[in-house]
Amino acid sequence: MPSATSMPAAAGASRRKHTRVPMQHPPRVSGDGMEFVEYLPAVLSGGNLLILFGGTFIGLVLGAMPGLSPTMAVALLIPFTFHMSSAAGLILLGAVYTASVAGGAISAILVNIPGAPANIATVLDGHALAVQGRAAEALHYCFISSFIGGVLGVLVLIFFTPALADFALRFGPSELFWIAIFGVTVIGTIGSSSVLKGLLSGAFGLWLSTIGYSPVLGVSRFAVSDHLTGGINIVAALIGLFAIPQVFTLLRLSRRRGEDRLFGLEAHSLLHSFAYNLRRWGALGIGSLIGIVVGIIPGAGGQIAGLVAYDQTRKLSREPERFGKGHPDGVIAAESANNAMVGPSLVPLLTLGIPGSPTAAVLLGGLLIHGLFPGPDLFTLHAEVTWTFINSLLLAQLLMLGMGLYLSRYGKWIMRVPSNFMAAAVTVLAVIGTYSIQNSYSDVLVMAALGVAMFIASKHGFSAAPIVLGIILGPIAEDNFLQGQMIADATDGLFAYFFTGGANLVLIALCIISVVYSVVIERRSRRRREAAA
Amino acid sequence: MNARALLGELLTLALVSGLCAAAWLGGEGEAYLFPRLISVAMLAIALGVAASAMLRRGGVAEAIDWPLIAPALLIGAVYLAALEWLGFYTSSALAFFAIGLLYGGGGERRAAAVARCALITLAFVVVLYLVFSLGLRVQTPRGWLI
Repeated sequence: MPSATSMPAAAGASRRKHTRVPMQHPPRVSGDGMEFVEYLPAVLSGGNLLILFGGTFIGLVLGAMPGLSPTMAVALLIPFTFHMSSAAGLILLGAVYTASVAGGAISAILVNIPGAPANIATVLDGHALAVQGRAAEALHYCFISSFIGGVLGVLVLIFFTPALADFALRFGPSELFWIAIFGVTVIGTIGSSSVLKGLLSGAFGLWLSTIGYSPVLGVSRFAVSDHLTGGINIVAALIGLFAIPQVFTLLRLSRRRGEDRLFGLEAHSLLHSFAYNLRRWGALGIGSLIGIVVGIIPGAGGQIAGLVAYDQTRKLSREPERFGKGHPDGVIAAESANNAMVGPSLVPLLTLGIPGSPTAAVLLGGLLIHGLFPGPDLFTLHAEVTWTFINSLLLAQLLMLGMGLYLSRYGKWIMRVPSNFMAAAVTVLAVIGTYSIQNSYSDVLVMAALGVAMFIASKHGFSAAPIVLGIILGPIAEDNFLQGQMIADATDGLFAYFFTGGANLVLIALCIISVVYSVVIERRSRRRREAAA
Repeated sequence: MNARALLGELLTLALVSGLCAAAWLGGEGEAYLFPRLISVAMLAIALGVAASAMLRRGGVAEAIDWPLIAPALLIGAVYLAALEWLGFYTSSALAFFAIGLLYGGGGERRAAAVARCALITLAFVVVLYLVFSLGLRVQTPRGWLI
């Protein structure tokens, strides 16, 4: 049965709504900087609080399971938010995002397998501490530093986002087109084995987004099968590209069960851990600062935040030789960084539609299906939903600390869930999650086909994040391109409209810089690898 | 650069060429303007990737463990085919049981492994039914069975 539309009604509405012309007298988005206080009670309402609890719990458990990434967890949960209000749905996704990044440290410390890419740096000293019989201590440092870094990150989100949204009010179709292209070039340079492959993945995503009916002209394109008539549904693509390759990873992990040694937890004073953590303000400060900066940079993500923070803390430490052998500063820096990254990664997402991390890219899909388009409207028309969501991230940090410290005692049980059953469960959830979007069997087939193709492509150095972002940003880029073309035809012509003007030139320069910079970094690291070999 | 990686880059180039041809030959009018722009950019990048591979500057492609994943692919294909004529819960239970049993670690008697897997499958499907059909009231594919 072919799908009737490529997006749910709400998403379709947002898709139509976002093609706007610049306003003559735009209302200011930022107020006195304390708007978030006004919406705090909304998070504390019974239903939202329950969802926040549930999301934090789910995030911690999924994060702790090796092989399940935060990106996949958020992608898999998006369809279930259809049955909730926009605020409740976003609270669930935000809590899962926050908690799964921290939860990944449990398996990093106890079994030497990072639960998520963001926890790679945590393995280095966290597991070494566990080997020394200090696993509980390492977990305490992990959750306390995650909490401090996470709160600082959300504060940046609260105070920076409205100002940037104000700035975004000035953008017209040409600038919005270039912003979409910038988003693809930035995230295209992350995660793939080469910059060119990342860019190709992003462009492929843009191309995939054109399958189905043209949003402006209503012409059917590339619908070679009945299953593609409605185009590629964003959520089906998200689930396929992120969840199905994970199923194969889990099947591989199921064959190496028993090789990993699980470490038990010793008795350790929580109060002592708090005091020690605060005394290590250097590692905490470096980690949080780097996490915030990396988070704001579009496309970077927690993996980079954790590794850079770890590296810088080691370089600035008085005892760098202890790093890698169980230095608490290694855990504190890495974990404060990867959680400090979460809030700021949403700053470019909520204001410009450019995600700060792959998980934020998936969250963008969640916003769109609830009819929320990134930009100033989020802080004016949808202020209640947006501020409730942002406030929930602040509370999620607190819940993550409490529940994380408690659940980490049972980390052994969580990680004993066999990978074969996890793979089977993810497969079934991917199917029902995709089907429930619009009761379409075609969506399920598209999801499965994209997933298997992504698994094969990943073996050749391609990554899912740029493709997903291309699919999400494709309609935005195309709508604004066509709208800009109409304006250009009536004014100075296409070249003058898209390639002149201060904002256009800055955005084009940013696109070029992001690609050139990534190529330079790639060449430098290749030379280093060759020299080392 | 290994042969597998080179083959991958060439297949990528062929796929992109096909997409480019579809964009330019698939139809006329403004509706195809954006896909054409994208396909030209894709073709240029794919040529860059292939040229980089020819100059032996590309990476090494990882081998796919086909013996490991082939049974899962087969189960997945049968699962998707059975979804609409057996019903969601029945086909999901069969797929869950098959993956759980086939990829189990072993180390216990066959009969015990089958019984354990069947119990876990039953518990999983009951939870699915409670959450999706009774809790969220999600419509699931229905066939001869549920």
